[in-house]
Amino acid sequence: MFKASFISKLALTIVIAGALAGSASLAQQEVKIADPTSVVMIVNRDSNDLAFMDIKTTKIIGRVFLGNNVNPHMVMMSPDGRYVVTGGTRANKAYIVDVRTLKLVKVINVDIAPEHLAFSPDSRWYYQGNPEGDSISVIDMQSLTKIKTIPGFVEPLNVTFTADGSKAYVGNYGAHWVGVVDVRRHELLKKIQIKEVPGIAKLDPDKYLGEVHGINIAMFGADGRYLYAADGDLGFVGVIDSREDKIVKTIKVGKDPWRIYMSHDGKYAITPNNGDQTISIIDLKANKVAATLEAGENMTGVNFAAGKAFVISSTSGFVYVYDMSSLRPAGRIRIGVNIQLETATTDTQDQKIYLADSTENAVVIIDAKTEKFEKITQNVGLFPWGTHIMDSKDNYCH
Amino acid sequence: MPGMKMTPPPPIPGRVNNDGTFVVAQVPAGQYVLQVDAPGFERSSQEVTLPTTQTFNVKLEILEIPGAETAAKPSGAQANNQQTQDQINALEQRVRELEAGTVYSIPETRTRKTTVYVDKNSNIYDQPTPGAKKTTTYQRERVYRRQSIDEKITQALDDQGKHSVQVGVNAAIAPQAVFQFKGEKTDADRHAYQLSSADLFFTAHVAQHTVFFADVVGLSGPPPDLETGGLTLLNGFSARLVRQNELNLREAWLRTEVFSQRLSLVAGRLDLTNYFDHNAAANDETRQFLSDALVNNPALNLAVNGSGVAAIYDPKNGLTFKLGFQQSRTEATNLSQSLYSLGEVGYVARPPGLGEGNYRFWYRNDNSADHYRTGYGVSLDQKLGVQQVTWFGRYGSAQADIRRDHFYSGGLQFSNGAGFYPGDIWGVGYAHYDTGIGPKERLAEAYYNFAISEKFRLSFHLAHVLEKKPGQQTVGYLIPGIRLQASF
Repeated sequence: MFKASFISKLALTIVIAGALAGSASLAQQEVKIADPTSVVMIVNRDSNDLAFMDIKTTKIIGRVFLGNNVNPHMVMMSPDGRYVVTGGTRANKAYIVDVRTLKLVKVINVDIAPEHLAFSPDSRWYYQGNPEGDSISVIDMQSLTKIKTIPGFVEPLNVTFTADGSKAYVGNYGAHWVGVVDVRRHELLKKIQIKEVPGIAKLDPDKYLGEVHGINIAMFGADGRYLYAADGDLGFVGVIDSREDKIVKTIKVGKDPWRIYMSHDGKYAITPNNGDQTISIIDLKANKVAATLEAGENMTGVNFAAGKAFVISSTSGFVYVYDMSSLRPAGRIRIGVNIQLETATTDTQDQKIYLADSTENAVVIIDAKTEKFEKITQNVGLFPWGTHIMDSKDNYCH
Repeated sequence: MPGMKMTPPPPIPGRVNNDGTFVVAQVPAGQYVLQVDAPGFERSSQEVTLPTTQTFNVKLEILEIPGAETAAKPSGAQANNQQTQDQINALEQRVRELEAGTVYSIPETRTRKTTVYVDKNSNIYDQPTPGAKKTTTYQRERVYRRQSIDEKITQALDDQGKHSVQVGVNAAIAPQAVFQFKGEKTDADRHAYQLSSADLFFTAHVAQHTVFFADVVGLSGPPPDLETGGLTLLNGFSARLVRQNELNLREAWLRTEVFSQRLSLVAGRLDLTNYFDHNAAANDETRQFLSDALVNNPALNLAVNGSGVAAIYDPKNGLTFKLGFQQSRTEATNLSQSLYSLGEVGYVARPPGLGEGNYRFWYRNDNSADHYRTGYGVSLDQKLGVQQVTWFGRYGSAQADIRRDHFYSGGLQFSNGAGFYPGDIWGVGYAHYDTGIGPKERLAEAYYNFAISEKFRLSFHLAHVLEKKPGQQTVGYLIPGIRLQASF
């Protein structure tokens, strides 16, 4: 049965459904998700699917299987709420799912090992990063086709669009620079070095000529002008002025910062430093480190809610808590023993955190105020790797 | 449009002709995206402007979902030669990708802890069942995550590492020279010294949250302390070690964590200064000051390492509580004759206008002198408004044979990019030690530590010491030194 739909750019949607030949019966498609903000999306690496959990009932209300060995990595909803997309790391494909019907509607060949991705603010462009292909695949969400592959990156992990959608900043984890992309032409415009590799590095080839821990992501501060990007090997955060695309300041943080996370009130940023198991809290007004606090091992993410920061320590099974008003440690939550935690998203009310607990095939819902948690294990999927809520300020992956 | 909510689209009238074409009328003028869906096919999506009399041709591609239980199939009418060719092309592309990726495609297997319900007949149920008891079991799980060979090898090496004894080395060479500038000439004047130290660490995970650790240290060469004879050691490497030029067992202990890993218990041969009287800026003779007076607090009066127990309660909210005891004399025949006990409370504070600071208060009791002697002290390190600068200080007071010993020290550490290279550290410190029985010491030290590589550091030290003994001239020394330190 064919189904045809006209979708207005002004969000007017018309659906007509009919039989292939002869019959004139018209039927409306089954709508599974009417409100795209009502669900938590869960990407499952081993069951190769996306699961959709209703926020109110915490029940899994839908699932989209992507195919064997797809190994989806990160899930994200388009800002207009129409599509959910993911990159299949081992399939080298991008998957596009219709949100209303939860139907896989398009599979697009991209470059090698697609992982992290981003949408332009107008939902028109889906940039899929391909870390092993050293490229970004540009997918037009109107025609649902890949229109270009932008080469020239080095292990591109995360993409950040400017608010007007004219430029995108790409963190290169295999190098020490941030790429600036002209979104109108989908071309790499510029490379911004965070900081010079110290000359003394010549004596330390193991560190600088071994595996590079470069830049994961460049994130905008609250003013929308300055971006912050942490370089793992250098242990510095570079502040980029997006008007001139130049570094205006560098801030020394702890050892091997994984990436930077922005607090929702725009006052602070946090780098989890896996090299020395600390976090650095950066005062964004003064552009300097306000506190360096003890944290856990193998940190994979930071979420902000109820005036606190929740730092996920993947292999220890703990979530470390910090009071963001006093900038002091505020305890830690033991999620479990012999487990592996991945990444989390925060609801739009900044009340609950939805954390992927991969080895237990669970999603852990943490009440940010009380710090009590509930584990959802029924029907989540195998090896949940990340979660996503539309309009959440903590949508990220690792 | 963030926040926009999709509502189910209302149906509109349309007509399907016998040849399969659609006619849709009564669509208001405007720009639209025409989407066509069909089971088993990918969505077609294109922009259209209405009104128009143009005919839009739509070609649907097959949607492949390998492994899908009910993979939708196109009807016979659509399964034409072109589709077969498309499938071949897709397969060829996939083979190319596989060859490029060299992937390990055997399904991943692992063992998972699961909860099941077992009844009196030993029948197992996945869900709660009347008469069945909730039980934990373990079973193999097979999943389809294809990994690259590289990932698989890395994982295997990591697994092997977790189950073997980890060995670490911390080696240091510290040449020092002594120039006497004050007082009656001593043997140390214009003499050179070199102490070489090598610590071998062994770590093994022996049970859940339980670790065995041993540190065997070899010291060789004379430090200046044998000739200067000061109150505190000018080279902290030999602190609390009795013998030189032979191997010493510095520590050997088991540590376990209980109560949700809030409480750590350590038992064995301990160096209690590793758990008490910490200081972020003046605690590590391998990276910071070389003089023991700027590494430890003499008021602790802990002469040797020994058998003991330490308990550390750390709820990770900034408050810590520690309690420990150890043997304090190697020649004691029982623990009751040489019991050294120590308690400490620590707090992470943020004074207004400053960065974070660690404040610790300790109290100790020691019966190694055949009667109990007590001592107390504080150790603090406080980051100033600039995070690169840390102020540190210690104070201690201890009962002595006559009156009390008093000690304080303080100084600054500069780090986090406040040097030539980002990993460099440098500092200045002063220590003031008055013993109850008379001798006094005033020591100042400055050092600069270059982080040459992750595993190798080079530092330069200069110490200025005044030793005052009752009835004798004050003796003053200037002690330059170098420390080469490698840890891996």
